[in-house]
Amino acid sequence: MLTIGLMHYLVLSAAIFCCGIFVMITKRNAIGILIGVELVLNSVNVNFIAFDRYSQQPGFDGQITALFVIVLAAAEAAVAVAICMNLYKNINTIDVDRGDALHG
Amino acid sequence: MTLTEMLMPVAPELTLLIGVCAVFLLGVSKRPAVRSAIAPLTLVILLGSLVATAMCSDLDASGLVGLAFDELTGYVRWITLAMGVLLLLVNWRVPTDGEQGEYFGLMLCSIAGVLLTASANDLVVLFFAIELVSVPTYVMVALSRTDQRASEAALKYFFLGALSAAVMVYGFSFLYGLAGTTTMMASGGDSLQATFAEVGAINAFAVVGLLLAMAGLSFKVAVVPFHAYAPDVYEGAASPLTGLLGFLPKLAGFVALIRLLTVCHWALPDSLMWMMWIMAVATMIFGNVLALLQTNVKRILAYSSISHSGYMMIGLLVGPVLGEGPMHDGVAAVLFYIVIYGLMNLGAFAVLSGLNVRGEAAETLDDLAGLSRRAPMMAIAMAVCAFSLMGFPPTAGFLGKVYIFSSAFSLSDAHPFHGPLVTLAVIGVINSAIGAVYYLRIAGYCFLREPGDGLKRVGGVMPGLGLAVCSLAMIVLFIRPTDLVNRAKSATASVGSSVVTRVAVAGAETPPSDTRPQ
Amino acid sequence: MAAEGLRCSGMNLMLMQVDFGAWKAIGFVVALACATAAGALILAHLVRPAKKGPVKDSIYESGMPVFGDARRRFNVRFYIVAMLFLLFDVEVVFLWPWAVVFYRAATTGETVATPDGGSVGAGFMLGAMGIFFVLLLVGFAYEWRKDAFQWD
Repeated sequence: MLTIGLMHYLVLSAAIFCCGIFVMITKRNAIGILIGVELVLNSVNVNFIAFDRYSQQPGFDGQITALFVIVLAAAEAAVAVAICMNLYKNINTIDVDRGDALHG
Repeated sequence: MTLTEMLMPVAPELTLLIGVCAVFLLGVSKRPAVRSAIAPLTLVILLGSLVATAMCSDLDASGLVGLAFDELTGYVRWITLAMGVLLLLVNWRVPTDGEQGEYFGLMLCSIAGVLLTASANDLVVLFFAIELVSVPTYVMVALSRTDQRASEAALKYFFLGALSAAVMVYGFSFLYGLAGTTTMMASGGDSLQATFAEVGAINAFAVVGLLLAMAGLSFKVAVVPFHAYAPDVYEGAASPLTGLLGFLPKLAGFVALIRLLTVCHWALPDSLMWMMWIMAVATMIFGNVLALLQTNVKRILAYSSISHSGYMMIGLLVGPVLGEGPMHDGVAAVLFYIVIYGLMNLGAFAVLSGLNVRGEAAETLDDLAGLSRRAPMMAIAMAVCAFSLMGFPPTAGFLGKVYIFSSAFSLSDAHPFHGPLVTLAVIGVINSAIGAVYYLRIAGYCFLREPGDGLKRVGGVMPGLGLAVCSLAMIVLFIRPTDLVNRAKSATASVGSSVVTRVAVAGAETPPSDTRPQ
Repeated sequence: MAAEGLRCSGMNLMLMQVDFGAWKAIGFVVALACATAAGALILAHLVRPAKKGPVKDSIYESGMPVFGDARRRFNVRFYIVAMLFLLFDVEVVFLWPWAVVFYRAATTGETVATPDGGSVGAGFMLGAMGIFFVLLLVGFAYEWRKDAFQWD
């Protein structure tokens, strides 16, 4: 019978991490890219919680860290939305391919 | 322990925090007089924080979770707050009326983040401190100008920055999995440092964790291949802000890298050492060669910023070497160099921000043509900064480069990385020579070209004062670097305490048990 | 790999073979379901008469006639609402671990040890959370003054 262990959670989080990176690379809409960032941060949370659950050390370092990462993700999302609105005011779209003022 | 005793060690950070609240709330005042008082108030807060730093010399952190204070903390506090005052002076007139509260409040946040990075003793605190440095800078880029380029730069900076932070904390999660605790160093009990002493850094989790964490931090210091954002963001942001972007995130990134490397006893697995070596070489070459192709001064300085990160990587690879002079300590050299770099970079951008061409901010080389006729003092300041960036005496940039490159020779001959580090220093010297071409081009445009029309000196007393201090500091620090060097050297003593054996046992593959602290 | 150095109990699973036996049956059912669905569609496509027309495409019986695309642009003002909601909603997660500890401290008088050997009680915790709320209030006051809560 299959026992779910730490390794499964790590593989899950690695998969979410890769999905997040993939979304960030392929999406052209700024909000879509933001969703990719959130996915990557959630994979981090899965890792922290799993390590906490399977750790033999006392304490809840991993769970508390996950809470902090959640709050940071929210703060980053708020900043991202604000920056998107700023861009929208200037070029009337949040399609990142339309931003071409910087020749980089 | 009373609450006052408990909070005394973080007095500088608390001063900044209270200041942030005050500045934000005063910024939404409807009275113009209150709004125009915000910049002076910010100056008072920064000076107050400096006073608090001087007063809390007794750094007993036993009552605080996740923080620890040592000489490195003290050094970073001093240089960050002192540079913070200069950054404020240069940025004095950047925000439009009604946005002073946000702009200066965010600047204080970013400065507080650097202070916290230097005192973090827990992966969570370290992560949050670095984010406290970066997130405000994303917003400041958008606030610094009202045109499309600033918005685009902010968006680009934000997404790449958020990705790098996420990658970094993903790496932290593996380090946590390895140690079972997020505490970085502890005199007794579980900590990352103790775990590394036990299992070494060759463990799979340790390698993955360090690799990802270092990749994330490489973005903050703009090292190839995580440099792509720098030219666009530097071009999009207002010039005075660019001086800040080249200093605060870089300082935080290097301090965090120094802390992480201290935790793993400066004994990285060979694979990671070689990765850093390749990154250092690529960073120096990419930065310098691409800078040659630019005509926009802000982009030139952005690529120069990348190449300077490459030079500082050399010092990081050497690591702290104890018991020798200041010329032989990689970390002290980095800590010294980053101050010099921050000053000369800020100086160069301050010159740009003090000039207008036909109503637009000066940006291209042509805009600077004939500066010596129109504003001789500005031209001299630009020349001093360019020569310092080039590493030419009599400027402090020369000393910085000498310390960095000579530190590469300080490992004993038998050390496996002696040869590669010497090669690295040689590559660094060659790159300095390549870099001289574009710095000389900037100075040449200022002095040898005929002035174009419409070049005008703008700005005010405060940015001019900031610029004067930056360029004078380049000369003063060349004549009398001793104080700063000694402080940098003693700051290294605290991160080097676990590597006393590094030189002694160099040569043989260091067994993990020998790198145990004490 | 130095397995003995790792401090997590689940870590040795890395070396263990994963038993896929139990998944065979599920895999078979999934494959069967996919095959049935695809088969029915293909079969229907082959045998049905193909007569297209506006009447044929119209909504059957009780549906509403469509107007416009569901994926319209939202008013940009919703972004501000989303931003404010996110911040104040998520900050509250810090209350959760605090509430767990505070409840025990307040009801039983239990104290929590600090790293320097001392201990703190419920009053200290209340004060700490008070500081956190003051900081949130500063943000709230700032947003109020910036008219972020006004729709127009």
